[in-house]
Amino acid sequence: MDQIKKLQPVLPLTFQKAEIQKNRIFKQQNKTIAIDYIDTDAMTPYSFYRPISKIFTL
Amino acid sequence: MKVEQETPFKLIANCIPVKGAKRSSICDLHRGSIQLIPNDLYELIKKHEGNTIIEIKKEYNHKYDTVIDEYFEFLIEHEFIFFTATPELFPKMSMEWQSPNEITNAIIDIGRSYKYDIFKVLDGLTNMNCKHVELRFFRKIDFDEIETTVKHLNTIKSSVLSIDFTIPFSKDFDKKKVQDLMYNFPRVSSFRFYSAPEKKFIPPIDNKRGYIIYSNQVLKNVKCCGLIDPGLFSVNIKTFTESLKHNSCLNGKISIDIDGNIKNCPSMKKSFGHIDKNTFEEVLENKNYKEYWSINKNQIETCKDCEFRYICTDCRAYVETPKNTFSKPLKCGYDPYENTWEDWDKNPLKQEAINYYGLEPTESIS
Repeated sequence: MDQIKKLQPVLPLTFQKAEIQKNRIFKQQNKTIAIDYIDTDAMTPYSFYRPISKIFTL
Repeated sequence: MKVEQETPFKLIANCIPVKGAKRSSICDLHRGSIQLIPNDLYELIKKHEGNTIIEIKKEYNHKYDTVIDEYFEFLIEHEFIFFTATPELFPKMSMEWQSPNEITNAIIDIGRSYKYDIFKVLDGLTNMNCKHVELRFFRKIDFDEIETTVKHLNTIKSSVLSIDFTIPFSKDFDKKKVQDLMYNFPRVSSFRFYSAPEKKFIPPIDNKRGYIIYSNQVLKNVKCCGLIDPGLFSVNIKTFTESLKHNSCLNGKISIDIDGNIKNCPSMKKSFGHIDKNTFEEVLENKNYKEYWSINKNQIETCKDCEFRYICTDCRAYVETPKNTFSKPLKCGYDPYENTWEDWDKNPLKQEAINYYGLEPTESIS
């Protein structure tokens, strides 16, 4: 284990948590979907799955 | 689970090893975490997956039995592998990335220099089925303006699922008021206040979505964007698979700069139209618009040897060698050949590019 421990500078990966969404959606003009109500069972730090812009960090 | 010497091992399908120049990583795409491993272990997994530990030890003439045992204890401890007599029944996960929409995300910059119709922009993005939008204000803004914008999305039953606001800190944005807005309009995903008196993170309330970040960083203009930082790493299936063949920043992105120009990214020079004259559909028809979309990390200098390359978001607006499209992001301070992080703006080799782009040192309110 020693060899591996040496290689473990722990990264501040504090933002990613599992997300379960209960979305009630409806069709709009048979073309787009729009969201009527969003509820989450867990913290959803990034709504888009990667940062849209990288203008500042915590 | 215990280490089994006589049963073949198999990697969990969504735990993906990534080889770097000096060390490797295993990205656990389900848990959203990453572990660093020696390159030896990477090779061992790649070469021997589906074999038993006894077979592996024999292959190396029992010279490295202790190390091999350590490696497998580590892999079991982190639940990266399992043992099965039928490894052929556990296929690899598909690494294909697909999106139903051409445009997946948008940046809208708003400043003092030019006033364009934000409602028209949001209508245009809805027509494109864009789902995620970030609005960045480089001028003072009041709460009512934000509320009106969010209400408009409800009125048009917009396709936009999440909207993030980056705005200068103001006492007008009382914490309770902001939280109520996020509660009442679930599309609002976050408020990021810059030039704030202190750094603070306020998580969502009542298990709803919507968080607040206060940063003491001063954001004068778009030149502050393009940061590469472990805090911005995204360990998930979508980011990972998208990064394999596409640019992890610009793919599926459309942006409007403070003057109303439609661009790949507000920090880039090239404009493909103007919001008052062109539609997003017209811009997408320009064959050059998607030029950067397929530049992936395997093609970018230095990044191609980095163990974080598929979880890191790229930047093509500011690069180390401005005339080289495949140059390393300027604002990345990581050296995968030495496994060290440094302040990117202190690196003397980057000064020429820093001057070229006219970047100023990062300012913070102390």
